[in-house]
Amino acid sequence: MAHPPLPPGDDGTIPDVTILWRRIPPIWWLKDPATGIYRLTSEAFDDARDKSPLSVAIAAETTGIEAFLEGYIGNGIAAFTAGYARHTCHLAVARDPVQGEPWHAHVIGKKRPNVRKLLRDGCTMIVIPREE
Amino acid sequence: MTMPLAATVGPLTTTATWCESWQRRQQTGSPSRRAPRRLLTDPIDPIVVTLSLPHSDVVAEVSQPEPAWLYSALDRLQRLSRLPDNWDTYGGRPLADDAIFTALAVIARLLNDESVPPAIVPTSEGGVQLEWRRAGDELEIRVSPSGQISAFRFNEGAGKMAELERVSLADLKPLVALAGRL
Repeated sequence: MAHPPLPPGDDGTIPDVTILWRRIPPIWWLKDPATGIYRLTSEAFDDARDKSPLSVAIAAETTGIEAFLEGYIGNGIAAFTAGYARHTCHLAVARDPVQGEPWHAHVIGKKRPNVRKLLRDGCTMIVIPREE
Repeated sequence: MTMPLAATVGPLTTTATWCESWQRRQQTGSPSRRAPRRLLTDPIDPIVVTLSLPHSDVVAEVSQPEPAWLYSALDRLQRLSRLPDNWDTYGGRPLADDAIFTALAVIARLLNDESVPPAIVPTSEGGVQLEWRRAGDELEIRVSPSGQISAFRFNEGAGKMAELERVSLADLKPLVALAGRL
């Protein structure tokens, strides 16, 4: 079955294997009341309050984990690939370099609850946030 | 279903020791504050608690014995109500009083004394998300800053997914049906 079309704006020069990093503040790293185990909330994968698309970093274009997290004490990093965003979540990926963050990119498309869940379940935590 | 949180409006008449922490944080006398709001109805021999929010108070009467989830939920909501602007470093808004009030009312309606409490998460837009997850079954209830409710349920075993949108506090029947026994 054919995939549904991606939202407008996908940048084909970003290969599917590209690893994207999403910075995770400690407040999104939850201690589940039912299990006592820490886990990520799907809320970590919503668009920003001003409705700009989900912010990520193109990992290979950063200068490393420490630099990426500099100034964000206790934050962690969730990683997923551009291909996962495109072909599983049906989202577009595009560069959005900004001052001081040339690696900045957006994951574009509506973040309905099932999409946020897919991103949460499909990411890998490469740096665990500080426990609240 | 038991409804352990009940309602009152106006000044406190009874204050138990355990709610002193909320009392101390209460900000009374500000002309910008709204009147306390009512949460559910008619407990017998209640204890009264006040959740002091930035622009209003929520005064609730709680039937005894108090449900096990009550204090952790109140503490969490109280803490989230104090989040500053840009709390998520992505421009997140402080939580709206209406969202916190509605979230607490939803919790009170859905949970009984033995229920599993939700994880309570702030949303970037200034709302509240309630999350339950267990063994492939998950429920997320989202309250917008204006108090509008939406919900998402996914059961992996059954392969079922359901969503509700635009649920109002005045009619929570669809939400109760979706949530089932928590």
